Parts: sequence; structure tokens; C-alpha cells
Amino acid sequence: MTLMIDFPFASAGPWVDHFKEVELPVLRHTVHQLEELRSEAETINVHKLAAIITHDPLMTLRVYRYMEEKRSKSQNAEITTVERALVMMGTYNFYDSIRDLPVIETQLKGHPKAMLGLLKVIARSCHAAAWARDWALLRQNTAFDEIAMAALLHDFVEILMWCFAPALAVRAREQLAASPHARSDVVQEQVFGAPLEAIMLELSQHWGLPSLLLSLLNPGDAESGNVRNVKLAVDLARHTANGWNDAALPDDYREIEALLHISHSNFLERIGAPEEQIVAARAAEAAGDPLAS
Amino acid sequence: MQVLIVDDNASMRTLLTALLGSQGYEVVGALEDGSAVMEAVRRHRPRIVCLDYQLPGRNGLAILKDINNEFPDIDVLFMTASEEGNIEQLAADAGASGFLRKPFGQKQVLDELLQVTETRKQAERANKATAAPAVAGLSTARWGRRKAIIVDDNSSIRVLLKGVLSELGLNIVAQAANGEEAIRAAKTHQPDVLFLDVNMPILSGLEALPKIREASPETAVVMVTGDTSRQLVQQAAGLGARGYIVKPVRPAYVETFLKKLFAN
Repeated sequence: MTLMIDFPFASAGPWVDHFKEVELPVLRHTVHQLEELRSEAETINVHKLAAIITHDPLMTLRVYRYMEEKRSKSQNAEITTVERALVMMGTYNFYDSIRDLPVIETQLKGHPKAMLGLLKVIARSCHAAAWARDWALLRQNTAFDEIAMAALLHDFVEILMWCFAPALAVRAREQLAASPHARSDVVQEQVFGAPLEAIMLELSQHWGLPSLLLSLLNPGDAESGNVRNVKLAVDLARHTANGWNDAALPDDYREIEALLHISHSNFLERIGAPEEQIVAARAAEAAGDPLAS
Repeated sequence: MQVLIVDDNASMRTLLTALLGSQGYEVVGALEDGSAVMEAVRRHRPRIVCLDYQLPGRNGLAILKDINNEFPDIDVLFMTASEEGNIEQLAADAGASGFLRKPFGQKQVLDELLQVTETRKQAERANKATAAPAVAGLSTARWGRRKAIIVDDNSSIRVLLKGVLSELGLNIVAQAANGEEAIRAAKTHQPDVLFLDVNMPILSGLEALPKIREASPETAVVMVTGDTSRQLVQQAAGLGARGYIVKPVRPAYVETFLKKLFAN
């Protein structure tokens, strides 16, 4: 078990060096679910196993890291989804690789605020992944699984900060709460010594995440439809986490509806918005209100 | 101040080395295997060893005991992620000067090291000045150089406790390493207060306690222990102990305790 960071590093590089060395902990719930199925390790359905893994971003990262570490030189095609990774490595080998997993709840036993913050980010990431997948399917994009994975992992450095630098992560959240209009990358630079995106990009490359995922996570490709699909899902999850009346949501809605070419009421239904907002949107559309969409 | 780091986690070694280096400590080594520690201690003679418990080669508790036997003036900061219920007590009884349960943060390490070094400084200051008739003016005046005896089988803890108590104005008239010696010393010196370790060879603290009370009825017996379980506390109180001091010894805690003890 490593040392919790209380004093920020000066730049992204030392953070990357640090995270390269740590063992990624996973949620206790994930450990329990996986252990329940250990006796069926050789016969278990990989779809079922992948569904458990992809509800935990750090467990998902562990699978990608494992695949990269075990990758043979003769392997040309990249393994881009957890399900395919499980097929490739075999469920027995997967179970063999996850003995005595470190547990996040143990790591954050003395940091209840950080535990709560972490669970919120994980919930947010899971929402983003589900939405990103749904929209990719709607856009008839065959890379829907990869798009979902990119949304799930988009904020993994924030998750790492909650796990390994809980005091700093709490400070960043409090600063953002105190100044809602502050830019998050500016606050991150002040608190962590580097914007999280810079750490994420460098770390993703180091861990050998599939190039398709890297391109989906790359802000440099922001104009690509698939990258927008990921980014908009992440933004929507972040803003709805503040409530369905968050001031940033109308802009999110406009952009996503333009990407998906669907009506406002239809979109609100797809993302599970409150019923009264859906009814209001339908009424506005029926009345021909130009602001309805 | 020279520090030796022993931990099998590479990230922990790297971060501790960088952190302590940035705070003015001189890191003389960072080892991952327990079997090489004593050799490194003999070679570098660090003032502090940051020692992990579960190590390849040799476990930290065994190393701690060896360090204490061979170099009682070296402080050991014991670090562990072990869930064993009594590990803190075992480390304290074996002479750990500080204890950190993993996971811990950078601030916690620095705070604990500060406590360890301050305690050691205070003890050394007082031990150097034992020739002087009175060490600490205010405390001495308040407590009138009351007579005290220290009983602990760990010489490192005796040295540390003697320094801390002397600095607080107590007159250490004798020291003992087991229960039998403690009874004899109590009978001879009739001290105001006797600090009694719980786990000792030959005769344990709890076994010796009623005999000490019999030999010197006016003596306030204070247990010194890493085990603060209700069972032990109740048992000691039932046998006549006036309270307990928790290991590792901390001067501020001891001073507060003595103020209460002598106020009664």
C-alpha cells in the first residue's frame, strides 16, 4: 500500500510516475460480485463478467493494463473492449489475476468525505458510459462499446485522485463548490499542480490503452463525432449530477440533440429526465414553440 | 537527521524518500527486504528507521526487537497495513517509538516523525542533565521531585521514559526489567509513583501489581502499555493501578496524566 499524497506534485509528470507504480484498488462491491462467481470461473458467461467489471472504472482499467502487460508481439489486432479481453485471456486466467485485490473502501477508511466523492464520480462515469453507448447505437456506430468505455474512463484520473490524494481531491471539490464559475482545469492546476486531462492522456498512453480508446479520449480530436459523443455524455453526466436544473444543461441538450438529430422531448425521455420536463417539452413541441428543441 | 526506510512497496519507498528528503531528513537507504536491515542499521547508524511490518525475508516485528536490543537509541517508526488486532500493542511493547497504520498520508508521517524526534530530544536533554539537582523548574517545584521507579523489560523504552519523566521533574530512583525486580525496588525505595509495563518476562506487570501494592502501599502504580483494551484496564484498576500511559510514550500525554494524578 502506498503513501497518500497531501502535497501536490509540481506538474503532470511526477503524478504519472506515481500512478504508474500504484496498484489500482477496486470497489468492495465488485470484489464480492466477482468472488461469488469464482467457482464458475471456467464456464462463466463473459458477457455477465464484463457487465460486473465495467461498473467499476478501476477494475476496467485493471483489465486493460493486464491485457497490455500480457500482449504478445505477434498480436496485431488491438483488444478494445472488456468482453473481448476476457475472451482473449480466458476467464480462468482472469480469475487467477485478481487474487487479493486491494479494496477502495479499505484504502479510504479514514476519509469518509473522499469515499463519498469517489462514489459520486464512479456513478457519474457509469451514467456517462450508458448514455454514450445509447447515443452511439442511435448513430448506428459499430464502435458503441469502445465509445462507452471511453466515457467510463474519461475521468479515471479524478477517481485516482480520490483514492490516492483524498485530502487534495476534497480541497479541489470545495474550491469548485465555493466558486461555481471557476474553470475546473484552473482549480486542478492550483490544487493538484497539473490539469487532470494532461495526466490522463499521458497515463493512458503509458498503460497502453487501445489506440481507439486513446483517440476517443483525445481532446485534440474534439470535432470528431465519436469524440463529441463521449465528451457530451461526460459533460451531461457531470451537470446532471448537480440536479436536473443545472444551468449548463440547456447548452448540453442543444449540442446532443444536434448530434443525434432527435427532438427535445425524445432526448429527455432517452436520458431519463424528470417526467414534468418531458411533458413540458412535448407540450412546447405540440404548440410549435421554436424554443422547444 | 538520518533515516532508513524499509518497505516492500516501491511506490512507498520512492515517495517517502522524496518527502523526507524535502523536509531536511537524510535518507541513508531504502530497502525492500527485511533480511538486509540489521546490516544496513549497523553500517549507517540512522537515528530513525521507518519500518514496514510485512516484509519479504524477515518480518518487521522481529527486526524491531533486534534494533531495540542492539541500538536502544535508534527510534523505529512502525508502519503496517496489517489488520491483526493486537499489532499496535505488539509493536509498542517491542519498543516502537511511533506507529502508523496504512494507508496514511504524507502529513501523518511528518507529524509522527516530529513527535518521535521531539520525544527523543526531550529524553536526551533530560538524561544528559541527570547530574543537576533539578531539571525542569516549574514541574519540579509543583511536584517536589517526587520519587519514581520505571519498570519495563525494553531498555529503549526505559531510557525514553526516564528522560521524559526527569524532564517533567520526577526523581527516578530506580529502574527494573521485570516484575520481581519491581517488587524489590518498590520495597526499598517506597516511591511516590511506579510506572509498570504489562508484558514482561519472569513476572508480568499484572502479576506483580498486587505484590508491589503490598510492598509499598502509598505508591501510585501506573501501567505503561500498548494495550488499552477495556479488559486490561479493568483488570489493572481492580488490582489497584491508578491509571495507564499508552505506548509509544508522548511527553504531552505523560504530563497531562501526571497533573491529574498528582492533583488527586
